This record gives sequence, structure tokens and C-alpha cells, in this order.
Amino acid sequence: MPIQGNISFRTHLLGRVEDFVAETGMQPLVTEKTIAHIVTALANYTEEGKHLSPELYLTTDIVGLLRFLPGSSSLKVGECPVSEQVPNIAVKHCAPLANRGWCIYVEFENGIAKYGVFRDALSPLAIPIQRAVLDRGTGDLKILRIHQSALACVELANHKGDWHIVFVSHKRESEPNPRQFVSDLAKAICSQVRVKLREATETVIERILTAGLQESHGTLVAVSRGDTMPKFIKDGRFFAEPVNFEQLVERAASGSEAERLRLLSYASVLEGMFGCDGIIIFNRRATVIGYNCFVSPTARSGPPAGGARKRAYEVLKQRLGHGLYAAFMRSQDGASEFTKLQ
Amino acid sequence: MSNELTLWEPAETDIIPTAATTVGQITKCAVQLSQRDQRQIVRALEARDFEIGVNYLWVKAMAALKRELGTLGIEFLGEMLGRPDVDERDDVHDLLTDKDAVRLAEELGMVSATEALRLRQTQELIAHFAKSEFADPNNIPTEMDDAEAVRALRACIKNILGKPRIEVAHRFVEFRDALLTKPLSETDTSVELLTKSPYFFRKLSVSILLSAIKTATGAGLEIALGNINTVLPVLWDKVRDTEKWQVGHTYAEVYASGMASAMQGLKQALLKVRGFDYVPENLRSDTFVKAADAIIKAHEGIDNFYTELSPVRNLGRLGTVIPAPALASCTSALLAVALGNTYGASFTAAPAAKQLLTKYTKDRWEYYINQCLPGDIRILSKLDSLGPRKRWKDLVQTRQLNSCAIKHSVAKRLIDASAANNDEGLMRAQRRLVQDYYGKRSATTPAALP
Repeated sequence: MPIQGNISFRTHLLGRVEDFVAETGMQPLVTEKTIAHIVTALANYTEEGKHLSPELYLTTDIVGLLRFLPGSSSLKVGECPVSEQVPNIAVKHCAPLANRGWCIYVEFENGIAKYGVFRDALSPLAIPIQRAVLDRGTGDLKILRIHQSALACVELANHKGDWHIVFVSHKRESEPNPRQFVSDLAKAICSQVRVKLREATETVIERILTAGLQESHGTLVAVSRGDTMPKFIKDGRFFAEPVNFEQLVERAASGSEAERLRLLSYASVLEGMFGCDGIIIFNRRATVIGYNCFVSPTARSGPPAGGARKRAYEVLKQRLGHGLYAAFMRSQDGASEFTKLQ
Repeated sequence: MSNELTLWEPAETDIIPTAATTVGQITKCAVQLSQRDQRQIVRALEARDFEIGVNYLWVKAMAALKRELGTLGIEFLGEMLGRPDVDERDDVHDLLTDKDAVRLAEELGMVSATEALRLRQTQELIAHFAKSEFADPNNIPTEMDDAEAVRALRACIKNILGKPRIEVAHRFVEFRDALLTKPLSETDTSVELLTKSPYFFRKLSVSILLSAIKTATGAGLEIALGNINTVLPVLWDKVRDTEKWQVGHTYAEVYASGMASAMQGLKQALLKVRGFDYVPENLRSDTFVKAADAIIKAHEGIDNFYTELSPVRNLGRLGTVIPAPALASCTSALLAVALGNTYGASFTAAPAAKQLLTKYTKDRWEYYINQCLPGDIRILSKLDSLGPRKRWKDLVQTRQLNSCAIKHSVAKRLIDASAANNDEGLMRAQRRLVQDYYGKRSATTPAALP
């Protein structure tokens, strides 16, 4: 007897987010069906052929949310009666606007949903929105954040600290969150930054890494153990004057607008490097010393396994302690690996 | 912490021996001055160039005092002065006016109340003789006399220049250490004591913790964050809006500077007290606070009647509505100019300041009188002098401030007495406010009306 019948990912998702929806407590705007709609919409969102990955915040009070972000701005786009479709309507109307730091919000109160876009302070040093808003609670405020953290991978997080990573692909549930290693990598890059500037520099580097990874089709990053380029890397673009983010952050923190803009412009250069082939090399003082770098397989690399990026990552792993302090890889489908010298 | 919180007093030491009576003998006790400086001062005073000698002495004394205060941390001093816009890169000499330095030295127990009064009198004397309009109308020059010069010399050397180092009161250090080195819990007696303490100590505790949150790292930062989470919920209803804005401003500052741990710790504390209404939407208020500070600097500097006008106009140009976080600083600065000092008020700047004050709506006055005036020692101490007190009463009567809804009972008594031209009632209320602020000892108010 032939096996027949449709299989829908939706049914599985509806069942798995039931508790999460109950804990979030934002019915009728947020139900299992809303989550299913929005997750599938954001997993691979395109508008006019352009890939977009907007960050969406559903909340009971947008003014309260913005209080966590001094210096923020917001722009209301529309309003409609509350229904499960509202988040999708908001995404449709606002996704093309939600770039370069702007996020989408949907606020609902007394049966009316208002939506639009908002952004945080225009400071490159400011704490990223999701950390400023969701870390350490939100008081009485209810918030749900939905964001595509990698292609076919959507992150859900609420004000209570609950979260889910939804893989809309063949990946196993045990796969790590694609964003999991970003803060580890930022910490490795800043591990020898002066203590006073370390946290601020980590914030800046993490912000740049997140933005760069979002735009890239896969990346390799290595952190040199010393201040200079590891000797085994011979092929690449090496800077005669490396870009030192510790110094840029120090100057930006002095309060001068020009220095903050300088940091922003160098951040944009670094983000651009994530669009290039090869490895981006940092030292542990938050300095970019080269990009578009390549390594040759060594005898110890073993038989080739995986693509070129994976093989290069294996080479980097073997170099830990011999010129390298840490290595990070993100593949096109969002799979991440990170390793550092213990 | 001790069992009772009263203002700290310095340990009295014999800096100038009783046998030292001549200018030369007294000046020799100024261990902070080089031999060359000592010679120059003695030469000027012996040549009866008293103004030159005392001016030079005062500049040296203030430089030494401000240097010592600077060792406590610029951010901390900024918090104490209600200047959240300053940071460790600022120069202590730019930050503090001479009056600020003497007041802080007194509050932190570096000099006694009596000696602080003597230092203030020295400064007033110098300012007085620096003003050309006080020359005798018959062209007979008024001059400092030798007794005045020797009094100034003694005050500066005894309190500042005669000490190798001007120690901050030991009990203040203990107080600060208790807040910054030991994790506190709500049931600690020191926390309970803090809630019953005079206003100055509550304000000081918040200032110390906020300053540490902005500057400390590692374990120091963790303890400061833990303690603000303990202390703030206990003190929140017992501090005024000025301090609440200070906490909100610090949150905005650490958020914008990428200091994640500090931001998260403060966020937790603000959530506990539902204090996010006090987080400024942006740091625009800093511009107003800086403008207000420029007014105070001019007001407390030499030739203030001529220099006050420009900063007052600058503040006026910033916009008609002063942001709430800056209202305390700006009102205090404008009132300082409008009330003037013992010698009068500026002919040009005082009307300009009053003009800006006329734009205040009733609710702004209510906010200032309820939330700021009870802790505005600069303005309260002005009421000690006849001239500023008269101008204050004029202002209260013209603006009909007695019709405001004043919830603070002592502030209400002060305003009502001012409106009724009742000097005695006004001074009783003023003394009470100062006493409530500092505790048992009144630091600025003389026993009787001048």
C-alpha cells in the first residue's frame, strides 16, 4: 500500500510553541498561528527580489520599550484592529524600511494595533537593542522579538527570557544558535584590550560582527595570538596601518561627534570585509590586521571534508596556539563553529 | 558606618603656633608653598600691597584645595555638584568654582564649618576689593587693611597651605568604603541608618554609587551595582527628583557608552523602583546643564556683575523650554544671578535672568520649589544676606509663588513668609531647610539675622 499524505512543518511548529505563546501572554496578537505565520515569512524574506532580515518587536507599550533606549527615534506607519495577521501586515509595510539599525514594532492596546519602525541611539557605542531591551527583564512590559538570525533560521525571544531558535531547514534541533558564538568571538577579539575600554569595545565589535554576518554568505574569522599577522598566513590583504578599534572606541567615547562618525565609518569598512572571500584576521587588541586571507591545507589536515570554508577552518583550528588564539566559521546556512585557545 | 550620621569634622591640629604673630612667621607655616612663593607673599604684605599679596595667596590656596578634591575623582565631584555631564577627562580647576571648592571641603570634612566661613569671608573680601565700582565716590581709594590681610593669610594657611595634605575626613572615607567595598543587604543597619539620615547623606550615597558605576571595573563595579540595587529601592521615595534624574542620566550615559554590565545593573535597579520615567529621552539636557554651569562660574568669579550677562543670554538662546533633567541647575543659576550677592545684583544680567524666569509656568515653579529648592544650598545660603533676601521676596511676590501648590511643608513656610514680607519666618524656614539637608549642624546659616 503506497504511503500518501501531505506533511506540513506548520503543524509541528504550532505544537512546539504552545508553551512559549502562553508564557509570552500577548494574546490575541500573539498566538501559535501568528508565530507560525511570521516565522515562515521571515525565514527567507524577500521584497522586490531583495533579501531582507528585519528585526520585529511585538509589545504592549512602545513608549515603555523606547525608554530602555535613550536617544531612540520612532516612526508610526499605520494602525488596524488587532488580529493574527497584524504582524504580517506590519512586516509587509515596514520591512524595506527596517535596515541600518531600524527595527519594526507592533504595539497593541485596547483592540488596536499600531505599527511602524524605531531605532536606538545613533551612537556606535550604544548597547544593541535586543540586549538593552530584553536582558535582565522588562518590568511590566511584555515584549516578543522575532528575527531572522541566519537564512532559514528564526530567533524568538520574550520578556521573560524564554527563547526558541526555529530552523526552517533540514537542521537538527541540537544545532547551536548561529548567534551563539558571536559574543564569544567578540570577547576573544577584545581579550587584550585595556580593561577600562574592554566592555565598550566588545559591544562595538559584537555589533559590527552581527551586522557583517547578517549580510555575508559565510565567513571565516581568525584571531592572532600576537599583535601581528601569523607567519603561516602569506596570502591576503595586509594593512600597513591596521584598523585599531580600541583606539577608535577610546576617541569616540570622548564625546566628539566627529570621532563617533569616524568609528561608524571604520565599522562600515569592516562590515564590508565580511562580503569578501577568505579570512578576516584580528589581533587580541581589537585591531583588524588583514582580510581576504587564505591558508593552504597542511599535511595534518587529513582528507578533504566539507567545502573550501570548512577545510580552511580545520587548518585554522590546527594553528591554535601556533600563531592563532581563536577561529570562527559561519557557513551560508547559518551553521557556526568557534574555537579558542584554552 | 558610624551609629549616627552627622557632618564630618576634620581633626583639629596646630598648624600655626600661637607664637607666630608676624606675617613672616605665619607664612613660614605654609608648607605647600615654595620658598619663593613665601618670599613674594611676605614682600607684598610687608610693602602694604595687601590686595596683591592676598590675591596671590588665594590663587595658590584654591589650586591646592582643588587638587586635593580632584583626588576623590572628577565624576564623584560632578555628581556632588549635580553636574552629570562631567567625566574624568575634565580638569578639576575648570569644574570647581572657588565657592564650590570651599563648600565641598566643608561637606567632606576637610575643613570645619567655622574655618569654611572664614575662607568664604576671605573670598568675599578679595571679590569686594576687585570691584572698581566700590571705590569711594570722593575718589578716596578703599583699601584692604593689615588686619584683614593677616586674617586671610591665617585662614588660607591654617586650612589649606599649612597642611602637607588636606585629608578628607576619616569617617567620610569609611562611609564611602562601606558603600563600595562591602555588599549591603536591605536588613543591614547601615542601610536602615541611611534611610533615617539627613538628606545630604542620601544624596551623597547615590552620588558615590553612581560615580563608581561609571568608573569602576571588575569586582568594584559588581559591588557598586549590587549596592545600588539594595540602596535605591530603600531610598527612592526619600530622594527628590534631582537625584532621580541623576540616576536616569547615568543609565542613559552608560547605555550610550556601551558599558553593558553597568547598564544592566542600573536597569534592574530602575525597574525595581519603576524609575524609567527619569531616564532622559536624550542627552540634550547636558547642553542646558553646561550653560547653567557657565552662569554659576561667572557669578562666583571675579567681576561677576560684568561677566554674568553673556552666559545668561546663552542659556536663553538654547530654547524656551528647559528640559526637566536640567531644570534644577538652570533655575538655581538664574536665581543666583537674579538675587545677586551682598554687594547687589548685575544691572544687565539680573534683568535678563529675571526675564527668563518670567517664562516659567506655574508647574515649573511648583517643581522647583517642591523638588529642588529644599536641597539648593546655593540659593538658600543667599537668603542669609539682606540684599539677596530682599530680591528673593520681590521675586516671590511678583511671580505670586505663594499661589503655587507646594507640598513640601517647610518650603511652603519659606514661600509664604517671603510673600508676607516676614523676615523672621523666612529665616526660620531657611534654617530648617539647611538643617534638614545637612543634619544637626547648620553649615551655612549664622545664628542671627544680619
